[in-house]
This record gives sequence, C-alpha cells and structure tokens, in this order.
Amino acid sequence: MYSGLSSEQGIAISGYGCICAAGATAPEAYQAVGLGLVNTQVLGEGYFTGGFSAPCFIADDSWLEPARQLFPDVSGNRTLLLALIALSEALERANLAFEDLQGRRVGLVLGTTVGCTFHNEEYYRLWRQGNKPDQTPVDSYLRSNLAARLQTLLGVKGPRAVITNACASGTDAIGMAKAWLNSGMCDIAVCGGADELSRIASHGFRSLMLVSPENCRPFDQNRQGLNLGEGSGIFILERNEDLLRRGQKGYGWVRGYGAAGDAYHPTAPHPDGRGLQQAVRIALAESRQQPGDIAMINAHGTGTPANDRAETGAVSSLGFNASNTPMVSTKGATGHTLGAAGGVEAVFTLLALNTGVLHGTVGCHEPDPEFQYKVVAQGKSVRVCGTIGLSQSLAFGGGNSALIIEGAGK
Amino acid sequence: MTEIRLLSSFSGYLDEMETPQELFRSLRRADDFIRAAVIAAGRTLEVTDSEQGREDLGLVLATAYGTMQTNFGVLDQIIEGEQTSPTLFSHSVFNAAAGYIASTFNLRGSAFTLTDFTFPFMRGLQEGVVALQSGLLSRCLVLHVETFSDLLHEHRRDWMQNRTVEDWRSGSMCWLLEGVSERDGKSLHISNLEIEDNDYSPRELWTGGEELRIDGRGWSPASSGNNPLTLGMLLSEAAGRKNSQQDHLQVDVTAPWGKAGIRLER
Repeated sequence: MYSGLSSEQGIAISGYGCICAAGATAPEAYQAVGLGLVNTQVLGEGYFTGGFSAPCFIADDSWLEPARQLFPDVSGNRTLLLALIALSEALERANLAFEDLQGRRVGLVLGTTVGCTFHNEEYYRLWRQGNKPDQTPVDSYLRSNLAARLQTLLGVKGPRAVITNACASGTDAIGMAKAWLNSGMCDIAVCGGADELSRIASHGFRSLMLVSPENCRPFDQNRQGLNLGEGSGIFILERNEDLLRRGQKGYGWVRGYGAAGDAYHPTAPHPDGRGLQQAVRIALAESRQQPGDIAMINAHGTGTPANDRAETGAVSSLGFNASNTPMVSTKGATGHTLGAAGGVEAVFTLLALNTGVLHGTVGCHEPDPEFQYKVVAQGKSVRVCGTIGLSQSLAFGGGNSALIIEGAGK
Repeated sequence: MTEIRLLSSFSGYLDEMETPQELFRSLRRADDFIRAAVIAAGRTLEVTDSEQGREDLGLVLATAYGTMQTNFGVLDQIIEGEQTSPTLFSHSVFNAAAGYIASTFNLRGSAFTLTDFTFPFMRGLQEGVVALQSGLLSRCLVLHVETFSDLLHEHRRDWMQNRTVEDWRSGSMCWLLEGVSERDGKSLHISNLEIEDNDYSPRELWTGGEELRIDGRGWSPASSGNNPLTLGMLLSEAAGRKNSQQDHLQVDVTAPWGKAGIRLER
C-alpha cells in the first residue's frame, strides 16, 4: 500500500515559521520570550460577560497583511492567514517558494480547534432569529478546512489532514507528518498548527474556571490559570537525504514522536500525568534516547493548577533531572494558542537548541515549591548543554503527545 | 511489512441505536455525537476479550462536521448572555468523543480526531493504517461520526430547493484494525487505499453526487442524498457480509471533490 520507505538519516526540519502575539516571525517571538515581553490586550465586556475581563494574546493585525495581499480570497479566514504567514516564513527558510511546491507530493497536516468550526457569530445570531442572512459565511465555512484550502492554494498533491486534538493538535500534526515521510506517502510535509482567538473557547475555558484574570504565571505558586491566545507554528519536514540532494542543510531533525491517552477524565489530566509519561517514553524509544540525553524541555505549562502539577510530576517520575534538563513554559509570552500551541512550541524548542539559550518561564516568579520538578523562572535564562530537546503537549480528552527534536546548531 | 487486518466493524444510524445498559452511566450527560461514537466503539470492541492490554490500542475518529450542534449550543448561551455550561463546552470540543471512548473502554494508545469535509472515513482509515504500520499502535479503532446541525439541514434544503430532500441521518461507524505480520487467509485485510483530492465549490459538497462502485459494479445509494456517512456505511456493510468464498472487496467512489478507493483482501 505504501512504499515502506523509511528514512535512514531521519526527518529533517528544512524550514520553520511562527507568528503569535509575541512576534511576527519565529526569531522575533523567541526574542520576546527572552526579554519577558507580554503583549496582551485586556478584553472585558463585549467579549467576556458578567463583568469578567482577562488578558488575551492577539497577533497584530498588520502582520497578516502580506497573506491578505497574496491570497485575497482567504482574507476573511484569520486562522488560515496566521497559517499562511508562518508557512511563508518556513518556506523562505527552506529555500522554497510557493510556486516550487506546485504539483509536488506535499503532505499537509495541521492542528486547529477554532479553525474547523462555524463560528461566525453575526450570521448565527441573524439565522436563529429566523432571518435569511447572506450565505457567504456558510460558503466560507465549507471552504475553511485548513489542509484542504492550503492544498488548493499551493496546488500540491499528497495526503492531507486536519487534526482536532484540542491543545495537542499541533504536536500530533508534526508526529503524523514524520510518519507520512517515513512511509513514503509524501516528499515534503507542511505541519504544525494554527488557531485564531475565539469567544466560544474563551467563554468555555472561563466556565471551567481555567482563565486567569491576570497575566498567566505557568508553574508559579500563585498561578490562577491560562490566558488564551492565537498564532501559528509551522515546520517544513523532508527526509534528510532528500534535503541534502537538493543542496540544503536542515535546521534540525524530528527524532521521535509519541502519543498516549490518560483514559481518565474529559477535561482534566491524570494527576500523575500517566498518559504524558507514556507518550514521552514512546518518543524517547523512537529516538533511541534516554532522559539523561535530553538537554531541555519545553513544557505544555498552561498555568492551570492541574496541568502544571501533573506535568511536573510526570517529568520527575520519568527520571529527568532538573539540573541536567531544564524545563520552561513559553505560554507566559504567547498565551495558550490551543491548536497552534504544539507547532509554536516545537519552533521555540528548535530555537532554544540552536541558539543554546533557554529563556526562563515568563510569568513564573516563584516556582511552586510543591512541585517535584523545578522549572526555570523568569529572568533566569540558562545554557542548553546538548542538542536534543523535548516538547510536550497535554489536551482535553486526555490526549498527550511528545516530540524529540534535535537542533543542528544553525 | 505490517499487514492490516479488519477484526470487526459496526455501522448504524443514531435513530436506530440503543444505548447498551453498561454504557448508561458513562453516557448520562453525553450529546448525540459522543453517544454515536461511544456506542459504535463499544459494539466494535465486543469481539475483544477483556480490557487487558489496551495500552497500545488507540483510535482515529474522523468527521466532516464534528460537534456542530453542540458548538451552537455554547454560542446560544453566549448570545443570550447566560453562563456557559462547562459540560456543554467540553462536549463541543471536537475530540471530546475520542476522550469519552478512551476513558469508557480504557484505551491508552494515541487518539486522533480528524476533520475533513471530504472522504472522512477513508482518511480515518488511512491514518489508522499509518499508526499501525509505524508501530505507534498495535490495534486501532477507526470511526466516522456525524450528527450535523439544524443550521446545516436548513441550508442544505435551501440549496436543494428544486429537489426532494430529506435531512441527513446522524450515525456512526467503527472498524477495529490490527497490525499483523502476515495474513491469516480468513479475515479481510486492507491491501490498498488511495485518496485523490480535487478542489470543490462549497455547494458541490451538498449537491454534487458520489458515484460508488463495489467490485466494479455501480451502486446507487438510495435516498442517501450525499450524506457523508454513505461511503463508510456501504463499505462497512459490504465488509460485514462478504462471504468466505470471495477473496477480495474493492470499493471506489468518484465525486466532484475527488476520488477514493479501497481494496480488502483475505
């Protein structure tokens, strides 16, 4: 059925791109993490209700303009615009133009949450009142599937998938792309995640008492929950030998991927991070690494009490040592970008490995003393002693996934 | 090379599904989408002996429209200025059903929810095969679940104004696949699966017709009206009734949005 082709040299990261409230490009955003910049807008009445307000991480609208100009047909789809901006940056780094992909076997696998829903509030409000509003939003919804739309815009052939695994979607998308390349289903893979800020998600997380009314503080003893955000993080992946054949060197490699379920609760993680531990074990085994080989961890680190406790407990139980393997969360500078988070954080993991600097957790001033694993607090950047890192995600529904990424020092 | 064996399958429409007594408790607050998914998974898993050894049993749940009606339920509360129900919201998340299946049946493997308007079941099977061949899982449930929404039904009726149209029926199907080293000569195994996508116009999704062929013979899906569940339902039924004399099953579909084909062999 499939060629059974397995890359001898691994799956290379030939390009990467990122956009979020912290910056319009990956280096800008990572620099903002290092500087501890927090670019939030406090949204209150009109967005939330009942007098509640909370900071949200919103990408500057002007940063989306290049995508609007290049693809005017999709200018109303913010999730797709975010993805296109990150994709443009990633392709540029891969020395590929949009036109270079036309007709080629390019796999497209993207994670999202909001991007797959019909969420045009104005239309829905009119419709439920019994009106017959202009049907353009329905047409747009039926053309909104991220992977299908990109497939058409890029004119590529190959497998496609939109993964809607909630907050782990972006990580799972990268793992799936790796499997596609290894099985010979495609020659290039565009993977990661994209999500726009959504009122439905904001209200929903608030109903679960998970939204912090202040800037979020992942792993801090005074953490009150998460802040929602938006963005996109994209990798271009190729089999290493194919990349070398076209005269390019990669920025790193995706060495391992693992995913496992908690089978525990619809929204809360297993208290011991049972599924996360298994996902990391699978990823480590695939990459033939031990916890001692891992130079840094980019945690999911949402800032909710349950997530941060489960995650630190799981990492400790797996045998990682905080002095050898420093761990951070970057959500204090980006917010929780939901389906994009895994993509954004994979990009940050690669940048930490390649720059050799791991920036402390923005918003974490007093790490919770009850945690079994001490994270790097804000303002305490550390040197990364090694080339291999771990990026991990936890999701509603008990999903957990982990990526082992090796940096090329580039 | 890993062979992909079909261990068991189930398909059904929601209005004909009864909730098994053992699932009453776990489904007491579930919406239709979750109910259709969990019942299908449970019926398919009936062939497995116990809940032991489910660490590497995972699932792929595919859908075109996902939890659309529940999502609108959350939006209704926001528009009305009511407090959002945490249960309603958590059920509106697309992978809520996968989470329910995992916790109800203690599945500890990876769970993917895939969303695509075209060929969702075929895409689910494709990713199930990849998960088994890559070694991520040893067994995998592949589901397709649809429950649609009032808004969708109304617009579809509007767009089909000159034709007789019935609302699409909600339903689900599920296959249990297993990765094995060689074929047993008895079970059906997925030997080929291909999907080729075309660009489509939004209205073609609801008005354009699918042409289905089973083992080369045309098959007209009576009154299915392009229901995205049709292909998987047909495939599940054909796989379920295939008698031991026939050594293969080939199903092909051609539509304005592309074509897909699957071949199962003993």
